Amino acid sequence: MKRTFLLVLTMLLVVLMITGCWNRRELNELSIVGAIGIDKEPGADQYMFSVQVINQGVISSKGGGEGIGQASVTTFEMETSSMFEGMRRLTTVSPRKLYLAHMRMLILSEEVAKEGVGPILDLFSRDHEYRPDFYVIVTKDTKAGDVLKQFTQIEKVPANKLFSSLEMSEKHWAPTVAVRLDEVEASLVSLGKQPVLTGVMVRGDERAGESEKALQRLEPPAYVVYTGIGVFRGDKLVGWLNEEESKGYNYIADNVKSTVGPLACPQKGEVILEMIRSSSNVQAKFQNGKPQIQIKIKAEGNVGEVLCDVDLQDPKTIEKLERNGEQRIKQIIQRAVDKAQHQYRSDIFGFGEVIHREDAKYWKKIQGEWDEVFPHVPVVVDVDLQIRRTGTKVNSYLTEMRKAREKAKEQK
Amino acid sequence: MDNGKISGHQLMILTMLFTMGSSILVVPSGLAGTVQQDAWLPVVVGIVVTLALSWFYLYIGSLYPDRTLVEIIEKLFGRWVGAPITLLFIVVAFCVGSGSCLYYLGDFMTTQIMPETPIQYFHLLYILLLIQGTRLGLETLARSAEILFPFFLLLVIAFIIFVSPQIETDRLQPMLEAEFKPILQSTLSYVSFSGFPLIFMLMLTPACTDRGKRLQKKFLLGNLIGGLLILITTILCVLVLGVDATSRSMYPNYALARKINLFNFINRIEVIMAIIWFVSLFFKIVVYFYAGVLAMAQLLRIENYRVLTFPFGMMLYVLSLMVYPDSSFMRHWDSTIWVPLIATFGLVFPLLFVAVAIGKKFLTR
Amino acid sequence: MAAFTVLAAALAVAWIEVPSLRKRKRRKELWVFAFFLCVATGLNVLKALDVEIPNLFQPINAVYKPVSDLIEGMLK
Repeated sequence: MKRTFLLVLTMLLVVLMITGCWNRRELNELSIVGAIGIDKEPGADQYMFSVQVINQGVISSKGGGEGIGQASVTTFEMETSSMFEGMRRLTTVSPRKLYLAHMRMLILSEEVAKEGVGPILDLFSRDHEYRPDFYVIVTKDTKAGDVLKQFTQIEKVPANKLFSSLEMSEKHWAPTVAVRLDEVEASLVSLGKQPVLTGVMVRGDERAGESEKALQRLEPPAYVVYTGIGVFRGDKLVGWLNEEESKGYNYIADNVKSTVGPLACPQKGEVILEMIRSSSNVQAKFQNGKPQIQIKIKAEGNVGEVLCDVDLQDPKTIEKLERNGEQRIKQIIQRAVDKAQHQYRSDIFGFGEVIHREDAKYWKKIQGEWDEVFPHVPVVVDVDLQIRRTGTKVNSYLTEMRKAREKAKEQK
Repeated sequence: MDNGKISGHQLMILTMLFTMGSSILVVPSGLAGTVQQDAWLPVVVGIVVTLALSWFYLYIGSLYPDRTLVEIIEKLFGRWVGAPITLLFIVVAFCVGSGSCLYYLGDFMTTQIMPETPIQYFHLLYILLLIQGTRLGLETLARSAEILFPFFLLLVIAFIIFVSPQIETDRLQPMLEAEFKPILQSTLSYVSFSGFPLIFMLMLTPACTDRGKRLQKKFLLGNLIGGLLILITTILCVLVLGVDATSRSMYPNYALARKINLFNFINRIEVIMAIIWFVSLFFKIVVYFYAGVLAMAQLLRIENYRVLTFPFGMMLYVLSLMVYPDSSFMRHWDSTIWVPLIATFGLVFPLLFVAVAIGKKFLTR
Repeated sequence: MAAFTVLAAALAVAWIEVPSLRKRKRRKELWVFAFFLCVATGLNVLKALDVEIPNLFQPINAVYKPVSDLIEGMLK
């Protein structure tokens, strides 16, 4: 009898505690945050904290029901001096508590990035609700809040559109780089590497893009697009790489999974090459005690589009195209290195870390003045490009057209 | 007295869990902070040192086979000199050992998983489990460890496999950059978590049915496996998170588990992975608790230690909430005061025991 | 309120343990049990009443601080 009573008592007690009801969060009391944007007026001491909240009712309703005529997301804005305060103060606007575990993007505005991202990022790795799998991007010529307010086509939730578009463009196009928060923090701490973030901008009429009417038009009045890579020195944005230089950056950082680029034909015109594989190997070599960076790129590609008259059946042509391609990739990479070394003086490629790995003693001596040493380090680029296939066709009709004409001439 | 008997295999599992215990949660962070990418090195050295220590403890145990640590102390020093020493051991095992490990559990839960739940409730839940476990006896505890072991291993292996796609080998380089003193310091810190506390296992070894070489083999094997698992997770932390994130994380292993993302499909499973640490922490606390309670019972010469479990459980509740006022004190205390404290009981006293034992042998001859 | 919960818990514990001890005439165990239960209940009541309990770590710190400083000094 006593045993049973005790057992029941203990079980009840355990059941009470084990459900974790103390920290329970019901779905109807939560607002799922898709993205966060941070803005700052130049000179102001307060940040503008924007949160894009997913409107569950609209997302889940198929056809009728509640939420018709509402937008799929809502963007709240709040002025604040710290991120955490802004986060909590938003409860005065939002009817529900914000839930952050599904956040996909953190958008910093150009102004904030120029003043320094140091005072901002801590919350996002300290708070337990944020997960480490969102991406950080920086706006170009626009406000972070405005990026969040744009209606997006096809994908209902703009945060998801930003997320998948960044992943897709990194995979198939290359001049963007998907950076996670821990990578930013690691390069902020590191002496031998500086952070980079991909830029995002709104192209078109921003105001028109904020209206739901934008969704009903076949040609949207505004798009959110990714542009080149933003270069940081310390925690401050110092400038941008253009599309080609960004690609060069990604070649070095071994981020190129697939991309497309033009090659010069032997005579005139171009062949468009589809890069299917690329791997880079960055090493430091020492000559007379001076470091030199050697970048070796091994790439494989297919001919994707022929815009000129070229005989692809001839192995010599392929060889020639390969040499041209190597030249081009080399040029792209050198341009990126040149800009980082001389214009921005920021070691975004992590050459410092490469030297550290190669010769820890030497690194210890120069790590303090690496910023001054970096612009003068010679960089040697070596590219090996193999063109494997020419697509489903052999020669272009351009070539065959010429050949047919030549034949006709001969026969005459 | 506890008449339970445990098999060699069960002892091995208990030793392994006791070795991993809280170390697996906190060691990577501290080591990455002191020796950066060479964090694996002190663990390797530490495992060797720990194995030597275990051999040494078993040697002490073999001086008086079938006797627990408390009885050995009494044999060596007599009742009146032995009692204060035993009391000190009880204070360390019960108050410091199980109290601080319990706080680790509560801190881990409130930091990472449920920050709004008061820490008391986690402690209370675990203490109920502790009392129930010790009342049922060592045999039951060992069996439950044996039952949990395959699942535990499965989880650990899954953990290792799931995070391995994100490894970046560059992060371990340059190798062997750390200097001698920091390596020594972090080895000491590793041994203070996983090595010295093994002295309390001497309260359990007499219950093992294996003796001599066979016991030694099981004990050292358990020790080695536990050490290797710590080594693997430490290396994985550095390889996946990098030195910076590892050293700045409160619980880098949990941060590591959050990184798991297989094919965009297997992800967000860190709470399942946390079962690994719940299990290892539970057995660490329970061994400390059992050792403390049994030692007190033997010191007072009462036949059944079970009467002490409820009062000690209640005391543990207050102690566990009191030992550390905050988590930064916890990290600081563990890396400073804890090291010489446990070294006194894991090294100085054992050496003293052996010296007295040898001296006695000479005198009787 | 919290203090009463502690007392209730202590009573419950006594209710579980004492009868069987008395039946088996274990005088010594009964006394040991009573002593530790009093200590434990006392501690818990003090805790529940928010009385400052001296931290066990204070004396330990007093003894080991010099040692730990020495070790740290040696390893720096």
